[in-house]
Amino acid sequence: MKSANRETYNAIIKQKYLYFIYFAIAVLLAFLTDIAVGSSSLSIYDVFSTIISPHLNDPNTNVIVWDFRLPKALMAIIVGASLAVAGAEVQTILDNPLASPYTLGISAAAGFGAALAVVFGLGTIPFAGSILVSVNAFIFSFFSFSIICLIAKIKNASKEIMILTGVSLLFLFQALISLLEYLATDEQLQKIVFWLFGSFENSSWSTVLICFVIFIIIVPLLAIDSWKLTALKLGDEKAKSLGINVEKLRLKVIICVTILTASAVCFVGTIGFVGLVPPHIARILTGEDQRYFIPLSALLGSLFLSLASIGGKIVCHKGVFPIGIATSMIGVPFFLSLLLMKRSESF
Amino acid sequence: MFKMNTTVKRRLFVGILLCFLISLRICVASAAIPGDLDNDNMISRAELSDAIISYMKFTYTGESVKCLEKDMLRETARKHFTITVTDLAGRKVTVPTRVERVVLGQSLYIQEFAALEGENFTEKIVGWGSELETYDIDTYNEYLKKYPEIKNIPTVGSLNKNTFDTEAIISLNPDLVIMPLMMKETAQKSTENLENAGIPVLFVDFWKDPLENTQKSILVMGQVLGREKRAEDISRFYGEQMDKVYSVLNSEEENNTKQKIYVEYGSFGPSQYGMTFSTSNWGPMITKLNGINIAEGVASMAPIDPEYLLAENPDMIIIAGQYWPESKDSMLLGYSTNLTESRKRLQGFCTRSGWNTLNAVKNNNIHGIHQGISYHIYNFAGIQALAKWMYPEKFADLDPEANLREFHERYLPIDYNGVWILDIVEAQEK
Repeated sequence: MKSANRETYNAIIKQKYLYFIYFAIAVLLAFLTDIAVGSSSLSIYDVFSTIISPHLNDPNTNVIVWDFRLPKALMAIIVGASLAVAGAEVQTILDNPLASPYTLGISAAAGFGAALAVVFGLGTIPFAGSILVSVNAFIFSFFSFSIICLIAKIKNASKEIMILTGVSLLFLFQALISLLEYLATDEQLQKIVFWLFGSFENSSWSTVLICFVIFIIIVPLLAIDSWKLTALKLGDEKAKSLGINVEKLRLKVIICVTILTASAVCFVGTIGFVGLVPPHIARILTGEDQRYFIPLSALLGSLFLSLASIGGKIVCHKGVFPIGIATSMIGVPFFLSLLLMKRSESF
Repeated sequence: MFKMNTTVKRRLFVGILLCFLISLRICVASAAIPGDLDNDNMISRAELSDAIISYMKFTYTGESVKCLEKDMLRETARKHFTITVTDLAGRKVTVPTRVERVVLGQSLYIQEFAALEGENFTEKIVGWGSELETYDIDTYNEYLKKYPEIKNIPTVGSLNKNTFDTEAIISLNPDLVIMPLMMKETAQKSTENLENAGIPVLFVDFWKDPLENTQKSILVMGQVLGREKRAEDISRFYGEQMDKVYSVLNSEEENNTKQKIYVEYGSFGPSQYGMTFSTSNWGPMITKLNGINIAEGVASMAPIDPEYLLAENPDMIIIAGQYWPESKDSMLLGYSTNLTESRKRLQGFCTRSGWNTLNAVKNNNIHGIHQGISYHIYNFAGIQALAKWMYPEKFADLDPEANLREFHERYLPIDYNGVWILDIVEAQEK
């Protein structure tokens, strides 16, 4: 009997590892396709020979592959993973299927920070230049987060309060963005709109590096608490009875999520969908066990953003297609079909 | 006998009016024509209605002072003396002969309006959109220096931002509202409301199809403002300037080696690719000159994919500039600029990654041009500059900058200053 249980468990675990392998391969393929596809008609051979030996090819190809395609493709992978993990954790701690960094107002706050930099700040700090927009977006994400924390602290970190605070902040920051759009000149307005669309165009090796470092620092911090987070899904009372300091855990996760989201969003703009849907798909596939839920969310996030990037390039091969539009257009039909096929209720 | 009845009065009035008109005809031959205010030996409609107003004032003074005030007469004239023109939207528009109060639905039309009205153009503008200040602060400041009163012209919001305030326009009691054809859809409701309030709306176009509509627009504006002669003069000048390009182009064989050209709106500076022009502004001009606009097919006013740009390897790059005080590395051009700074900004764009491999950059075939040239009456300077850059030998004698200066000297109340058309290196160095 005991060994039969063991076998069932092992079979389930094996199934979950198989998902990892499938999706890791999918992400890798998507990444390679993302590098191979582009508006210039480089052959696949050209692209990969340039990656392997950069100095043997002509400088034009070199620039296209190393300065344009690689940073953008890597950015899609890292940002996708960051946003999906952030979304997964927000859904876990708030126990709400609608929750995502977007719902907590973090993305809107980042957008407001960026718009503020565009309308009032740009050029006033001589050395900040174009990164001022990113810095400002980061600062405002944190500002929004600290308000949530403050209110949560007063009200004992209850999840309803957090969601309501987040949603109110979302509306506040959206109104503030509209106000800035109203005040902006046409050029500024254009810049704000482009930013809000989301785009990998401003990706460079330094932004890739920053996002990557933050990702590999934050995710282990979350992984340490994976058992506690899994227990949290049983409900606050049960988690408490298991000896978990629910308030403290919730605040810690919120801090991690904010850093992850802010670092991703500040470079690529607001991308709404990736924080919400990939975690749901991951949950449908693996269930609530955080040991599998976190990495699978990350893989799915990367996969979606890579696919969106490829899709955007195919649809609009001369111009730049806003990534935020592409993600939702590719992801939502997929998600809906998954909902229709799903057998059990897992929310 | 001293108390005439109304019918007799009316008949008498019509009779006097006829006598007056006949006497005007007779007087044409003599040196000074009564009512000919600008002494051009012609009685324009505006002058005629002025003459009739002053005649009525003179004739009826003493009988009933109350109804003879100038405003009342103006109202009467507005109702009874009208002309009908066809605007650029193909609508029949009936406007008073004597248009004295105008609202510019887009304040960027200051250049065209000033060109027609001359030195005292501000007297007729009773309200305008907010675009000039938000979109082209450089031109605004340049006018502000000479005409501080433009600061007091009430703004009526902006069609571009959907903040157009129809009620404010009605309260300004204008004789005419001039609107951009580009914004016809947006302005649909406003147009209806204004017309219901008895205020005519005239659509003109310097943006949507500049090569076709510029002359038509200036002529129709001239008609309604009572400045036909001036408008014809400007239109003739414009036609001559365009012919300088067309005559050479048409006389030559079709050029088979088409040049690839990339134009960017340089508002973001080198760090971020700005929007490009597929079907608007510079796009059609390039096509007209037998060039290939590599941004054709990119969504209208969206940035190009940098990779696509490198792969296309354009022969010429043009950065459209303006005066954007908030951006320190944008393409700086306009009245208040100098050559050193503008050229430095243009050179900044060449530092973008991969640009050193482009033909345009290697051959120093990079130019700057003021964005305003593409959507104003002086867009001939734009097509001239493009033609000269594309076919340097054929257009060796053409000097677009000098022609733009000449336009300022002949028609605009402000002086030509600063840098508007720019090469990355001096022509001799190339």
